[in-house]
Amino acid sequence: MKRIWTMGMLFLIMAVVMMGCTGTTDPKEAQVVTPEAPAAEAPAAVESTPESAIKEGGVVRYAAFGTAPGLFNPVLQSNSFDVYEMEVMFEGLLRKSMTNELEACLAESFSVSEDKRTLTFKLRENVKWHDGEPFTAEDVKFTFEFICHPDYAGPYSAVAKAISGYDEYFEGKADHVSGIEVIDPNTVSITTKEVDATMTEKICTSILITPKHIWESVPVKQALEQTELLRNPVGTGPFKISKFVPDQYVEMVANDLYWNGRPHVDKYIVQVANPETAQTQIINNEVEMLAVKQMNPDDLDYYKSAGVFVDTISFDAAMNLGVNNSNELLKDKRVRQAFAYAIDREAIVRDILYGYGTVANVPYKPDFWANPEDGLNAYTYNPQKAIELLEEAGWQYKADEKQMYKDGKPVKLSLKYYSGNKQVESIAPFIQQALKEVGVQIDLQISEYSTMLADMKSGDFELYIAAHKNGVAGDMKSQYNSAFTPPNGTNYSRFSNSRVDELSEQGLRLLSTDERKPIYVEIAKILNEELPIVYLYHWHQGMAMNSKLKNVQLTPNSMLGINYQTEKWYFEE
Amino acid sequence: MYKYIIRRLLLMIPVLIGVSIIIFSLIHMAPGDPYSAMIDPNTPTEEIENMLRNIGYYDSLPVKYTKWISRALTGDLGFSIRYQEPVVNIIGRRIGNTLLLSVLSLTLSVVIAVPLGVISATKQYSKFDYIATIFAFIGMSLPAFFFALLMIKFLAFDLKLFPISGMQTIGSGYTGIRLVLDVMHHMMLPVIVLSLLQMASFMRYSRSSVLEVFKQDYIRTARAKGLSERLVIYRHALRNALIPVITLLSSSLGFILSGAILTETVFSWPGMGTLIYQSILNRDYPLVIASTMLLSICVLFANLLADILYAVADPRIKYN
Repeated sequence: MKRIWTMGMLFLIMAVVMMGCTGTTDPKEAQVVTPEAPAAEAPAAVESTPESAIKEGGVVRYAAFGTAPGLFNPVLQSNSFDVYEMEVMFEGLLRKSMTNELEACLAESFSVSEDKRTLTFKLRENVKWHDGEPFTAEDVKFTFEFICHPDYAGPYSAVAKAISGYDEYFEGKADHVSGIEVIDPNTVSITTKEVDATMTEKICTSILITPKHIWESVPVKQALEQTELLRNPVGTGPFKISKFVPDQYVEMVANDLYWNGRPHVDKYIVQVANPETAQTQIINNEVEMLAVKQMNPDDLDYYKSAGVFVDTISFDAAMNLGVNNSNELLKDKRVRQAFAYAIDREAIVRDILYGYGTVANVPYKPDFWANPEDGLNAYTYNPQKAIELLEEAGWQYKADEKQMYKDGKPVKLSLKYYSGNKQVESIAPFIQQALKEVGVQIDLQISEYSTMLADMKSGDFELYIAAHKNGVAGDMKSQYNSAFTPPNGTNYSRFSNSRVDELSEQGLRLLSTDERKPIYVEIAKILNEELPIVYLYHWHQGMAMNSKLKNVQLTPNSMLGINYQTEKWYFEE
Repeated sequence: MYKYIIRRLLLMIPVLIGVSIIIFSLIHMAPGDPYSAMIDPNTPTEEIENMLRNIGYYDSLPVKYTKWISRALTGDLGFSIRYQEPVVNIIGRRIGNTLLLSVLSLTLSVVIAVPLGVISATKQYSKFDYIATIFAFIGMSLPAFFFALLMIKFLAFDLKLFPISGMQTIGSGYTGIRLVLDVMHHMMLPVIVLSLLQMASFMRYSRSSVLEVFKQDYIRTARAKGLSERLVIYRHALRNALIPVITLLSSSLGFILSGAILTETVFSWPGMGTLIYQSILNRDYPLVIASTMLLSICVLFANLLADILYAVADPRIKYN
């Protein structure tokens, strides 16, 4: 084992050295950012089992709880049930590694110019599309010009708008986008209008490259109508489409031409299943993998005794008690802090999540680089303190009736939450009870998710329960910057703090994590103190898998949680 | 009679227009939009607005309705927002799957339940009657999804007789007769669940209506004039007793296309039931409206059929 570890390290070092060489060839580039290790030989070697135990072949079936519409063009739309498959059929220039750093993918290295606006990508050579055509810089240019096209109506216009030359191309004054430049068949550069860390990251990782030779002849406006092309996607990823049966399953087969070697498993199928019966399916060997919604000990024991392995993954998100900061009663931070003290979040994690989560005090999860290591208020459960804070905020507590009054009126708030998530459905009455203990009456209002979201947008709410995903690259602007208050953005809590406004703007202009860290740590500390919303917990999502299936790496950077280096998956004998 | 049918058919037009206005307004007035549930929450709001504008989300209700009805009249039911495919294709793909389940289970349940009900009535208070009644009550009071889960537990998990979900063995690549057998194997569980549940009410209905008829004077007369019990039951009683059963059957026919939402969902059967449910959740307006309109048409025709069958079964009923 020790020898294997050493070998792994050696691989890693060699890889980094080699990357360094390719990256520093151009002396003009001030700052060379080299992705960690190409194709991450290292983790595979570390986890390694002797080659002989790897069985080639086998089918991995994933039980998805919904149907894929089958619009497999990654820049045209982002329906999650289609993204599940596109994640393994298509690739971006770079991707996020298991340690959340940028890593080589279609580009084997990239560099950033001195003004930080131009990214130059050195593309991997000998990459082939699923149909055998070579992948070149022209494909990259095509993909980015596609999203800049005036007729484009997909989810990435914001990325397009950040690229310089977008406006001229959009208005028809230029034939090409000046910010996208093919330097040679294996080098391409993209220049942004201004420095924006989230956009840089999206350019590198969110935009998956589509083949020019397939889509070139299709007018952008009619792209969504090309059912044949959309259902028979051609990508560069480790798996390629073999059969799409609408409403039933998507079958993908190993890509023999994959640049990092043909996947060990032959087929990867995402099939429609029902969450209530999927557990039985995995135990009956009708599927190999599924997401476990409820981590309750009885179920977990059951999986265990049936030989099904359950791993966990934590996404870059938190479940929160949302608060309308523009509401007269709730705009005082002491009120929001009181709510945090009143709710025993430890108990929620222990009893509702069965321990599969951690209490949240900031939006970032504990292992995220911007999570402050110290100096955070933990808001440990303390109903007495909650009552004191509410009284400081000018509320009157009548102990005999156990009721809070504000201006002579009993305090009564409504809490909106959504159906379909068992955790949320259990937390809502828990919070109602907790706040009742400090004299605040809560009226529970359950609705379907989109109905609640509409209220969050319009501001017709006092409290809500919802999970918030953090922005790309730790960005907090879209959720806490006052300029992003609905209808102009997603600052649903209507939080307004001049320092956060300033910092969240400033953070975007910096690209390296080292420079960004102090800024986002400070934002996190302000959010912890001001508590625009009451952070409840970060949850660990379970993933059950056939225990013979090895090398599955769970990562929050995959929407499905498992789609990372799928070519490394294999079945043990 | 023909005049009557034509008049009923013509009457359907205003009813359908009314139904379409109601469905249209309801679904469009419901909060939410087609993109709220399916898009990355980090997508900027203006993007979503842009996409919504493209599908005409911000038009006023009357404008939307006029646009829709004028296209619908030319046979164009629109384009699904989620699937980006003509609505007709999507429904066409699903309808066969639902019909397969519902026609088979309805036929099975009628063929089995009606004779059982009749026997039960002729042998009122016998052991057979009690047992049948007990089972019928269990069938009526069990929720479909719970019953389905029980069946999965016993037949699919413990005995491993049938696959748990889906319509075919995925990745098997079966064709021809093997595919047919494979689909049949997969549909056994949902058919069992659906027909057992429907059987319960058919049985109770036919039992009680036969009992009702037995109390009539003409049955006593028939018996008094010395007809054999067999003739009394099968010639005189049964025909009249089946009229209420026809009503029940016709109303079941109306829902034959909607599929059984819960049963289809539990077994991940790709039919109309799950489609309608999903399209409502996703606010896929064209798909919701087209499929619910299809259902209304189906229900209206089923009602018409019931009325016609009444006249056929009961000569006293005449339509002018």
